[in-house]
Amino acid sequence: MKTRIVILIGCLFLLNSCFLKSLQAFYVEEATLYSEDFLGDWTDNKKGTWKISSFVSVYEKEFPTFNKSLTDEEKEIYDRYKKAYVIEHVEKGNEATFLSMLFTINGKLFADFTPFYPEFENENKLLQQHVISTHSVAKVERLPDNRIQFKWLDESKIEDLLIDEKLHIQHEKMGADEDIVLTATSEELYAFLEKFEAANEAAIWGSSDQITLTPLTTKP
Amino acid sequence: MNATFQKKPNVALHVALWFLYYITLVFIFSRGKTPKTIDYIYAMSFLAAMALPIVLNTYFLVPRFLQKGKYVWFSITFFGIILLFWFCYTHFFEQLINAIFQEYYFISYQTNLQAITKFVLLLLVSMLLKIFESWLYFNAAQQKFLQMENQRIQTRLTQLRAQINPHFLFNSLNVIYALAIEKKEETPNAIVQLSEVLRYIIYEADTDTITLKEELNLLKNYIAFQKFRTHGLENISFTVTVADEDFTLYPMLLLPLVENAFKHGMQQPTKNAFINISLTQKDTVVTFKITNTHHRVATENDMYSGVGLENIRHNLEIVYPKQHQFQVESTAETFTVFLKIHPKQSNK
Repeated sequence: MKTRIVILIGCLFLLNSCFLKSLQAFYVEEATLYSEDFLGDWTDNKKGTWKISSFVSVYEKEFPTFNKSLTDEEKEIYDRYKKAYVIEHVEKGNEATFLSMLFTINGKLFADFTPFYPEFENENKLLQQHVISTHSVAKVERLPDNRIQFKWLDESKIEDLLIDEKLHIQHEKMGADEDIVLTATSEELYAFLEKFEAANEAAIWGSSDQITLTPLTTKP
Repeated sequence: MNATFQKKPNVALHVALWFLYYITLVFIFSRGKTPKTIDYIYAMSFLAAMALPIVLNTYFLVPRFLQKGKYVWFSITFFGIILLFWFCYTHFFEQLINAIFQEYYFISYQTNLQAITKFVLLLLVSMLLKIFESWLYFNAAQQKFLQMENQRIQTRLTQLRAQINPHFLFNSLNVIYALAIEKKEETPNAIVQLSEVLRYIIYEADTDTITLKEELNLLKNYIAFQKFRTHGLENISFTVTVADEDFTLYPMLLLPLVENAFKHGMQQPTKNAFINISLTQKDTVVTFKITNTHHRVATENDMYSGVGLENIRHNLEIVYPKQHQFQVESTAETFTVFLKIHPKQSNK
């Protein structure tokens, strides 16, 4: 199990190494949406597999009697993520689970990703205390043949804007590589994405990180 | 305040003040770090958004309502301005700067509440500075007014003195002339006495205050001088009861009264003619009383005596306002002047 966790952390690190990370989600509640079109099993262009389930179904599976026995805190979590998806991603035998939320900006679709790992519960407590989940954001495009493409927000483009002194957003630079971690509120992050979309800066999305999902099976 | 002063707006001061507001906002928005281009732009935009309501409040509402005591009107319009800014900021500001500066991303600067708080604080600071500026201006204007008023009084006093001196000199020269005509031996002494009196008038009378000791010397010299003219008349008494010879008075108040008494009392000296002078000083009260015999013979000089008394009266009103009593009593045979000076504080 320890090996699994190390692999998972490594996987997350590699996956997020070029993405812009944020402590807060990139969406606001009003902009979220839920579509069953995304549910099911998918394969990606890097030979990885994606199993996408609704958060509600996963939650109900975890708490069969959730309507009767949920605490207030659990109910709050349920309400907050009832439109979310749980993504089980396997790449080269390495597993990772994410919580994703779809949201729109000016009619365009985006997805917020954050690690979701309930299997941590019985693992090393000290490790749990040191791990913080960050969020990443990807632009979602529907392609022919029911394919879906995720284009993640490129950190270098944002870094350029910060260096050019054209962007003011709360952030920190962390680690030896001075990775940018946004610390702005969700409202500010959403406003930030809104402005990018208004400026039609298509180039900032997925220039180096994009994944195309092809359905293996879809729910009717 | 009767004087009117035209207030000249201090443009440099106001520009410096707005620059100070701007720099303060730049450092607030850069959150203590080195300000960046986007911080300068945002601070300028935010200041521009606040400028109109702040100018309206500072230069219109404060002088029109607050400084004129129309507090209800001021309160209504003051809160009206805050609400108007709140509405305009939340509805238009973000959209406007995003439209104007399309290449810039003003994301994490402030919430609406923080913006309104900054606006209200700047509104209050600018208002207080305006009130402070008005207070400074009022003080300066009042100081200028007092200086002008003081100058006016000094001019008036100089004018009054200029009216007294020719009278005294004219009468004194008449005395010397009379002594010289009669070839009196006392003439040189009389001239010395006169020169002592003139020395006082020329060098001492222009000072603000003079001691009772010096004033007494003057009166004694003057009386001695007048005795040359009225030789044979022994009924001249000068009683002095002074507790403190260093007590100070405004100069040239007493001499004109003595001069007046000699002029009118000795016009037609008779056996019963007399002049009684008394000077008393105790604590802060000086009392001067002079009584002389007189004969009501209409002469051209009566006109001058009226001018002399009137000058003294004016002088007292200026230098000892509400701190003196001045009474003139005239009977068929005597003429009495009573003067009591009671300064609020000792002139010592």
